[in-house]
Amino acid sequence: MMVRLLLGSRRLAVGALVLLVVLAATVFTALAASDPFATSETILRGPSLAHPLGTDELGRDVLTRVLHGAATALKIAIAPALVAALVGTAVGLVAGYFGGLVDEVLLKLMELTLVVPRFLIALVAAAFFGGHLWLVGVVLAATFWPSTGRLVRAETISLREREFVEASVSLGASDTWIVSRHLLLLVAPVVAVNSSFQAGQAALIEAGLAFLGVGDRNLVSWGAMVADAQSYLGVAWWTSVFPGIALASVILALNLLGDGLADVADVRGRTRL
Amino acid sequence: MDEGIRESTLTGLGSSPRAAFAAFLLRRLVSGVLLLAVVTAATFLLISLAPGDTAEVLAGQSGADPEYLALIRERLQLDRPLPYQVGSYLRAAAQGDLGFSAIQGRPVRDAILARLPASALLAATALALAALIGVVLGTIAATRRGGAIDAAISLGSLLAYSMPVFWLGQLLVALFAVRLHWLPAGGMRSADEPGGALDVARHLILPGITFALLLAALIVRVTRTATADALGEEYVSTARAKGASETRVVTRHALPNALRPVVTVLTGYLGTVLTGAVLVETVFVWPGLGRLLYDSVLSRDTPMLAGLLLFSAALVVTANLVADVVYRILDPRTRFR
Repeated sequence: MMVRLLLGSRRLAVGALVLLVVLAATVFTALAASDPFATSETILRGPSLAHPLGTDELGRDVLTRVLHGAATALKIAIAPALVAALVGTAVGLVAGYFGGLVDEVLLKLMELTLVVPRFLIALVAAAFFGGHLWLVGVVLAATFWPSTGRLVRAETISLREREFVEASVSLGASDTWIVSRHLLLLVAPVVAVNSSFQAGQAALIEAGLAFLGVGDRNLVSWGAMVADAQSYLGVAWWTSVFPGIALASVILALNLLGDGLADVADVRGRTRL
Repeated sequence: MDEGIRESTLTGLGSSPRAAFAAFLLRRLVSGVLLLAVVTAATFLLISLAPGDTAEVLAGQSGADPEYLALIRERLQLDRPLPYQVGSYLRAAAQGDLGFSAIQGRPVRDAILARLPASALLAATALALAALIGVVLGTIAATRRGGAIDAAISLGSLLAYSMPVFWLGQLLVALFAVRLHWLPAGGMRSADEPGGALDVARHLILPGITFALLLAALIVRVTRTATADALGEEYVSTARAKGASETRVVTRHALPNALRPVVTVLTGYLGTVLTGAVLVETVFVWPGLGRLLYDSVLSRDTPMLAGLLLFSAALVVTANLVADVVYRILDPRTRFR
């Protein structure tokens, strides 16, 4: 018990720490007003004092671009997962608690949205309407909530049969009271774990889209940086390695956060990962 | 057909396990087909919502042959109300007619079928590799729960899961192809001396490993949790009490039960093999469906994209069906229920 708690909290701490650093980086870059698109004559130069992480094929400073990429990654990681958590929890609670026809309809709806892989939907949407960050966010939120909903529904169904619900009912508690005061708090840990993993996935998907060239071209994306580096792998490793490390670190931090939370709240194995 | 359905549904109510299984299969089959029909209809609605004339959108290029446009209009009844159009599209799709890709210069179905073998080879390699690594490491972690080995495997799997596949692929190319010249950087066959299974196998190594790593990470985690849970069950204590060796307890009692969630993950990925492979196939220039999808996105090839979307949905539905069936076979309780 103690070992698990300790392990869990350490992962939690590391994940949270990395995310704090990334957050600090975004605030710092927003204040410093450096231009990630500014080109120069010094192209494909290795790490030096002037350019700690080197420059890319257009002479742009890799460090500046990596720092600016953090904002893009954080936005896409947080917003869709948050929306999905709210919508999914609400739908899952209603479907799981009331059951019957409502449950049947909501479950079918959730199944339907899970049939086509979300990366595919995001890819096609980005191809037709342009890969604006908000559009990718909308697609992700729309495809994240059903999995959150299914999870919450399953939790709610198992909680509904427990004695405390019966006790509450016999004390005259209304459905609204039971759902909002009891069940909501009890499903919260699972939702938090799930949302952390979803946030990591969102960052991965945005980077994947940018890597394929259908991302938001007005923003700096680590995925796009890695894609640009493809042609210079033999001569300029730093153009691929540093944005890649940044991306992997943020995703790892989010997954560590989810993993640690799962251990601390003792809900491991109940979410998909 | 109608008689067949009625018969199996009726016998499904009986007590024969085989009839119950048939009824279950039929029920899942029907709901799968319905699900696909809805996805197909939704895809067509999206196409008809796209700006411009639906026939021209489906022709895939502006200024297409008027005769060809007329043919599309007639086939899909585009001059009639929307429900008729959806119906025609559904009927065509049910017959395997997914339209014609002007950019590929052939029917969408043929283009998909032509790319399927390469995708299947890559996916099968990755899935097999991942299942092997994942189940072995996951079981080891579960039997040494709380120890250093468990912690290392858990952290390693989380690390692998967090790795962007396209970046990992790029690093592997940079190291093994560009720097060391050990393996080819991309493609499926060498240009100078093509053919030969060995040549394909050499090309398969890097994309196979890249694709497998992510999957293995997932399987390790699921196997670990499920095996650890199974080891806490009463039947495991019983087996131990009967003097079974620890190896036997794990491999014969705990693992078979733990494999069910693993099957879910594996089949779950079978459905998304197409999308998971887009990034891998793009990095390694692998001539599979993922690469086809990528090319279709870049060229805005509407019929091709719609076809791939439907094909992918069909894969997911089929994979789920397979998962349900394997589940029942692996779980003796459902066999006698």
